[in-house]
Amino acid sequence: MTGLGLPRRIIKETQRLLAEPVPGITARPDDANARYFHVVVAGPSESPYEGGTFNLELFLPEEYPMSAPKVRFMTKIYHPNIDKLGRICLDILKDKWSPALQIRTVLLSIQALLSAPNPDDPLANDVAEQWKSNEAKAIEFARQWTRQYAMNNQTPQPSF
Amino acid sequence: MVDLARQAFETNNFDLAAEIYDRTIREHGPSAELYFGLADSYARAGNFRRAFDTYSKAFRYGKIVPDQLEHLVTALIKTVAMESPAKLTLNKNVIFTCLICRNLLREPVTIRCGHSFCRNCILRDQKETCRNCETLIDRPLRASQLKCNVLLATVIDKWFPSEYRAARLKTEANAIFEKEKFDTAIELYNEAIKLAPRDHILLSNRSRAYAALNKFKKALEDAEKVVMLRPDWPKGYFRKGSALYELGHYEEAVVAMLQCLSLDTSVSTAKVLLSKTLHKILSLLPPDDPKSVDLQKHLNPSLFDRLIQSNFNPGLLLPHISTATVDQLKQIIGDTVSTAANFIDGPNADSRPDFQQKTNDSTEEQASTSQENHELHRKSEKIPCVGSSQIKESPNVDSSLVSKEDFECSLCYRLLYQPVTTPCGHTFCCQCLYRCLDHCADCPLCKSSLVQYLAERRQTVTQSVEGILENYFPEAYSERRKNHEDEMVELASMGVDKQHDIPIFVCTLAFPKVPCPLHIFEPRYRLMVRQCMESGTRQFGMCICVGEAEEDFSDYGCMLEIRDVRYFPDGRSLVDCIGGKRFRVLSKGKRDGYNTAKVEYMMDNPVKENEIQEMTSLLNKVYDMCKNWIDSLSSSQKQQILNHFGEYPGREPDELTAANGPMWQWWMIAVLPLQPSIQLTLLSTSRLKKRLLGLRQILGFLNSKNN
Ligand SMILES: [Zn+2]
Ligand SMILES: [Zn+2]
Ligand SMILES: [Zn+2]
Ligand SMILES: [Zn+2]
Repeated sequence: MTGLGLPRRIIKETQRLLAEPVPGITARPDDANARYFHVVVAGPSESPYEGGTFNLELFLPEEYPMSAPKVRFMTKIYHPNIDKLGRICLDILKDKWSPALQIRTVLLSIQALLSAPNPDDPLANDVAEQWKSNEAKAIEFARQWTRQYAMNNQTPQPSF
Repeated sequence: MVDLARQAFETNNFDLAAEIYDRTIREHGPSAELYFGLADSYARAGNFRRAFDTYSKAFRYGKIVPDQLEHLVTALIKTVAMESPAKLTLNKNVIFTCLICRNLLREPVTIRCGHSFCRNCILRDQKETCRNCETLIDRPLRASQLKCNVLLATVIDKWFPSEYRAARLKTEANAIFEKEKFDTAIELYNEAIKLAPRDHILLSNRSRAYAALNKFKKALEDAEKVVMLRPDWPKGYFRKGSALYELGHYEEAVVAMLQCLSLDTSVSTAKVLLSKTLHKILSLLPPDDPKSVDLQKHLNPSLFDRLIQSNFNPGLLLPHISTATVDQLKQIIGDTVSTAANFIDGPNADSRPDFQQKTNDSTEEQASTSQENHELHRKSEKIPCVGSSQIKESPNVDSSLVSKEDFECSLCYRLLYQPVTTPCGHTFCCQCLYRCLDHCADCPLCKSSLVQYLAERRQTVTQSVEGILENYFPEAYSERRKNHEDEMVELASMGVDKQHDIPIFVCTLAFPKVPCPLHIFEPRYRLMVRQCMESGTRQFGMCICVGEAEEDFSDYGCMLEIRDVRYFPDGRSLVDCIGGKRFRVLSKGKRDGYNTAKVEYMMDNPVKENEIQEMTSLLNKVYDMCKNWIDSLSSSQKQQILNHFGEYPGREPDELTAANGPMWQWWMIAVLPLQPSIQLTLLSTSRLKKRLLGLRQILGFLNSKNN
């Protein structure tokens, strides 16, 4: 892992992500910075986020894979585990990170988090409260936000 | 007289015993008892020609049962026993072979020393040390702790599918044999042997099944193949001997039993069969000629004859496994193996019923078989192997099954290099795993605790996996090795010029020649120290933090040379360093999470000719001031300082010309209660005079405060 330039691991992960993308997710490295990824996650079906497309940024810090990628939602989202700044409460991005995990696993976990919000381990307290006290209403909010912020929000990406 | 002879015999005076028996026979006439005593004496004295001759006479004079041949059997075994089984060179360079059962690894477990064995084999084995490298094994092993080497198991399963199928068939066949459905068992063995034609245990088991059906010719055929495949395996000879006995080829049977016993003297079933066979031979021998024409019709009498002629020279028994011919043997067998078919099976196949010989023997003997089987099983394992399964150690594998991706490290995504296997059975590059362990003592894949593994600082490479990499991916692996070596060269060339970064430890200030013990706990510095040690540079730069951010380290620093590293069980370490050259930072960088810098080493400006006198007196003055200050300390303060920094250095002859000036000034700068910024100023100047004046001022201030 020593040496200048991009570690072999990041190159390989990127190649594999491009060759076999995670269904419902695109992750594209930035042209200027190979450690920075533009991620688009489609709202999972049968979730309040269905139909939405969410932009995220994913950054691989210098210590990656010894430390977790840094991931943030750029698109506003109403979710008990995602705060106003788009920060995500996900154990594998924090203390449960392991260097054997990879970008792909992180993306899959985020997708799963959209399908199954966990208000008992909240990051956005007001959202979590709403979720716990009136789930139906919370889900309605989430749908509304999805319509408002996550639809027709994509700038056409250059094909690659 | 007979009493006297017995006495001599019992005190191992066999020549004397023979003499007395001989005289008694001449004086009092022959009897079965006397001839027998004489024959036993000859036998125990090692004179087998005469012994056989005399035994046959004894047979003429009375009825003798096989058990009475005990002394002959004992003497023969003693004569043929291989002095030391170590005579046989054991091919320990194994990849897929378990050195306990000497078959294809089944549920491989990699132990501390990096060698792998079948899970069941290593659990059941009694040996206290590794059969490959003699490293002590922590017995008793606990089954729950023995985790399968996932990578190795997957690869073996994938690469040798038919051997695996054969192994399953064998287990099935053995179970059916126990139910005495011999025909069905043979059908299953046939099927298995088709898949694994060189599995000696399959052949041996089928031989046993044929024998159970009284098909001794078939049993012999299989036994002969076994012996050919595994000339070092005692059980093969036992099988062969049993079949020969049943076929009435007694002399050959004796040879086979002796071959078995020469490899393992403890095989009781072979001993019993040996005395029965000898009994048959002796009953047939005419008194005057131990080698009658009658016996010539039997197979291969010449070897038996030659054995008697040579007084049972053991070299005649197993000439084909003498050390000299091992290589030749390897060649022969290796050339004929075109597939991996010689690898199969697991420990179960060397099964318990294997040694139960269905013969017309007495019930007494049968009762004891099971225990003996067990004994044989155990003993036989001790014999080193030159057998087939070890000879071709990198068998050809269907190339479509060989995929480099299977050997990719899940941490660096490169081909595994120096693969190590954790107790939980996961394999990583040694370097990658230790880098993870810097951060967290859990397995990166399964989160099992590796606290113990880390505490032992185990770094033994998993031999089998490395063997696979070297044999099946030679180019990729040597390229990987080269990458690693290049990285080491890169690390090793730190600071050789202004282009090569040195690692920077941002912590405190260090000074030339002043000891600096460090407690290393941060993951990135653990890595840094490890890299310094592995690359052999054993040094890094020490700077002090001068700002908010991590990168804001001082523009000047001092090299630290690692004298010793002591590791705590959790991976932290105490590093004993001593200051080296001073440097000025030219530019800053990062590597693997820690800071680096391109630097320029610095030294003091030479003292001008006209300043020498002034400088000398300044040196003397400041030295004495320092000494006074030290003397003014309380003894406990003084002790503390000495413990940490060592003794106050004495004067040196070249104080004015040394690159860093006198050592004692640095010692003083390190010891004095100074602001780091002042220390840094003193460190970064290349003028000795400036430092000395600085010291003088500081000491003046301190001394006035004390007074
Ligand atoms: Zn084994
Ligand atoms: Zn070993
Ligand atoms: Zn690796
Ligand atoms: Zn594990």
